[in-house]
Amino acid sequence: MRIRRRISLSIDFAVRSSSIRRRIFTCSRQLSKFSLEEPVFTNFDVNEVIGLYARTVTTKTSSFNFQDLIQFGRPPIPDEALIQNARTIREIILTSLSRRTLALRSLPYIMVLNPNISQIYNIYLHSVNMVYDSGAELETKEDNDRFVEALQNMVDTHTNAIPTLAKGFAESQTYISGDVTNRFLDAHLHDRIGTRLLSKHHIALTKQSAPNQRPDSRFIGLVDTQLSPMELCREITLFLSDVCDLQYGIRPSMTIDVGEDVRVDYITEHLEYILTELLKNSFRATIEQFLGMTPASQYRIKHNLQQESAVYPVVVTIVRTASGVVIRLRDRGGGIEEDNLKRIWGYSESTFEEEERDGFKTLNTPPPSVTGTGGTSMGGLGYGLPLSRAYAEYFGGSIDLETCFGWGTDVYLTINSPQAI
Amino acid sequence: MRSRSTLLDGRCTISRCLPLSLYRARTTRPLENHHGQTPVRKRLNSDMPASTVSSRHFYQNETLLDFVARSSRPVSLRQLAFFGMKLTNDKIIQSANFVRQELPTRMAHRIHDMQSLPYSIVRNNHISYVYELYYHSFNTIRRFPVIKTVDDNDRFCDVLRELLAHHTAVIPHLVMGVIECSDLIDSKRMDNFMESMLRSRISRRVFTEQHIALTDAFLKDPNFKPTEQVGQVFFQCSAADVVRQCDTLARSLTQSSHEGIPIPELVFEGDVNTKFACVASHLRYMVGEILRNTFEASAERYQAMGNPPAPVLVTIIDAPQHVTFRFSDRAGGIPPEIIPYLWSFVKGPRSMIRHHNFKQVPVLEAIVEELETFVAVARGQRKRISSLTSLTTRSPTLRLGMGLPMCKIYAEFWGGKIAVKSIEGFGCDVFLHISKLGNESRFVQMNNI
Repeated sequence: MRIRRRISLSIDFAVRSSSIRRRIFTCSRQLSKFSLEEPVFTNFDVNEVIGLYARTVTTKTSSFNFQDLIQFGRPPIPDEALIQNARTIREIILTSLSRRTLALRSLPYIMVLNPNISQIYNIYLHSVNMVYDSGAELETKEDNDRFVEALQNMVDTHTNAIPTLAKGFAESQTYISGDVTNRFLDAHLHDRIGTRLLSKHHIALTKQSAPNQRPDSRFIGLVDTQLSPMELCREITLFLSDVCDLQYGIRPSMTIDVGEDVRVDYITEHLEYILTELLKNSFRATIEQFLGMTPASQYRIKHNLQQESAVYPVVVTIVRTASGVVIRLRDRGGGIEEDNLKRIWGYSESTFEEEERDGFKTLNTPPPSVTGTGGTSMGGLGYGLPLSRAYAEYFGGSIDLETCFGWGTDVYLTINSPQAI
Repeated sequence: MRSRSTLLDGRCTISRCLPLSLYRARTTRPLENHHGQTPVRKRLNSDMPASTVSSRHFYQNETLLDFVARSSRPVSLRQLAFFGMKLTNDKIIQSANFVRQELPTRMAHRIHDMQSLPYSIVRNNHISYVYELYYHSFNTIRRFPVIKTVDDNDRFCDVLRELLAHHTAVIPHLVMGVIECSDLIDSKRMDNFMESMLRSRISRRVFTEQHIALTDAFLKDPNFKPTEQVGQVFFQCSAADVVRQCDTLARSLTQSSHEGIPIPELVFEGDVNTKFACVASHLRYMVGEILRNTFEASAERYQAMGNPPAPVLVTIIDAPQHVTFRFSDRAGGIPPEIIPYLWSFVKGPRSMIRHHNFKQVPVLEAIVEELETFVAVARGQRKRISSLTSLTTRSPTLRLGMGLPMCKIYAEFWGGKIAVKSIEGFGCDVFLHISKLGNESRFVQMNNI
């Protein structure tokens, strides 16, 4: 512990005393300022930090479970607890970020020269430095506030990282195999989910514990203790049917046959993202099946089978189980072809606008939850399903799919969540 | 319940189950074929030693190895069903010789498999019974001379019928043996062994029964042209009708053991008028198992909770290569501790109960009358005596624990699939994809040895 402190002091001194530090913070908020060259702080400093955490990277995976998020009880949370939490998550976040940086460094050299990927690499280096620095001393409430500010900065900086990274990988397909890509992205997204979750949760906890805040009986940080999957589905359906209306001129619908009054503790953002993706897929399939655009509907036309006479609603079944919630989405969208089934869980496999090979480049901004900004189209990145699965599996849940080609698909979403406090 | 040690103490419990044993030359009850005639009973080859387990057997194994060295020839549905082709003497004889050569080859592969299992397993009563039965049958068929005339074929078909009858008890014995030996061998290897045995058995029985059916049809009418049905293959099997028939049977069986408990209705949706070519007895077995599971679960749930059962949604889908059946129920789902063992013959927590139940499965020759009453219930089913019939009509209190693994083998045999998705505390969805047996050779090669 003492050695670490000495190294950190020496780094701090080195960094503080140079003009470099000034440059970092003035351009920290603008992603575009990060360029192709190696970042401006010396390799020595950042490598030290990463080296420190690389040791923990190999000895243990930074793991925390759902209990840890709600361990302090309902806000307002006393300052000491907040500061303790800040210390803990700083360690976990630094381990995660270091692991990401090392993974990026082990990509083929030519790939990291791609401007998209190098941009991501640079912001990771920057984040490592910033989180390390801002949390060097965590003793008082002001320290925590400064740390929270740095976390917010990091969250904002990384918000658009996924589309950028996706673009970089799409452009580098000739330099890396699909398997390696999938493994890299699986690990990357997993770490990213954890880092963002911890950061945003801590920021929210701090805000909810501010002196002038009313005690909140519902939210603990990002966790909604009365999350209603039914309400979430209804809101998402409203949003998506607007999008479908714009795109196809048809409004899809959804009915809930079981489980309207099921409540669960979970992170709203995560469940919202997953349900948006799954409902989007179901709606799109249902509409296209009705319009005769899917392979299944074409088979039915060819063999004089009965056509879909309506845009059937997606049937949602919500069941509370001992360890969480199971949500089943049943659609009549024609099902998924055998050959596609293996590919849907990979990255950059979008069936949207298949005719255009470079569909990605012409397309569509990703859904709103990923970017935080607008996004009105129905597909394109091809990251939706793997990312949803990463969210579901983060706390031990799962997404399973059973398809009946010619009819429709059933999706089983299992969310793991312990009992409410 | 007896302890494990007494069950494995080498005492032969077989003779109680099997009225026809290898050690007796003649059975007391003649076997009826499906025309109601009683063919002349052939003596079992009496120059065959009573037991194959001797040191002579080791050196005689050369013959077996010769057959193992041959690879089995793939069989297509065209060959089995003679789609729209006219039958002639020559074709029948050709088919007979094909069976005469393929049967021993395929059986040799299975016997060879068993010979590689650990000694302790094959010395188990049940497994050794199956082993000796197979070896004996292998010898019987391989010694049969080349078939040159229609009369030869008649004699050959008699031998085949007898063989089929003898082998009806193989499945219960195999499963009992597997459960008893579950701790002697890695369970994955055991499951693989069971799967290959059953797959091979299905293929042998299918082409054997098809040949017999073709012979019978040809003898009845030499200008016979297969249109609607040949043997077990129905060309225009109505999917919804099969489900309804199985529903009737499963319902009456469940009702008989759970008196007065309401059983969920079936609600159909989808392409309910689908007709396709399939092996009807296989389909009936699979659908029957699935429905029985659903009804059992539903009855148990009603006993526990009292709510009237929700209807079971049956979706029939006509897809390019398959006909898909989806059974969606609300009977409470599968307990999570069972799920890892769902597809295994080597069961987890419930294996000893299953084993006990197995001993009570009726074997055909012994209780034909009892079988007839069951068969009368399922009107519309052919009165076929097959090993599947005894399983299909067993009492629902006999939980054998092999319904799903068996369905998987039958489904995958023809290139289909089965999947089960359970929502804990709510219900199950079972997805059964059955291959359409058409002229596309891709799905109809039986090269599973």
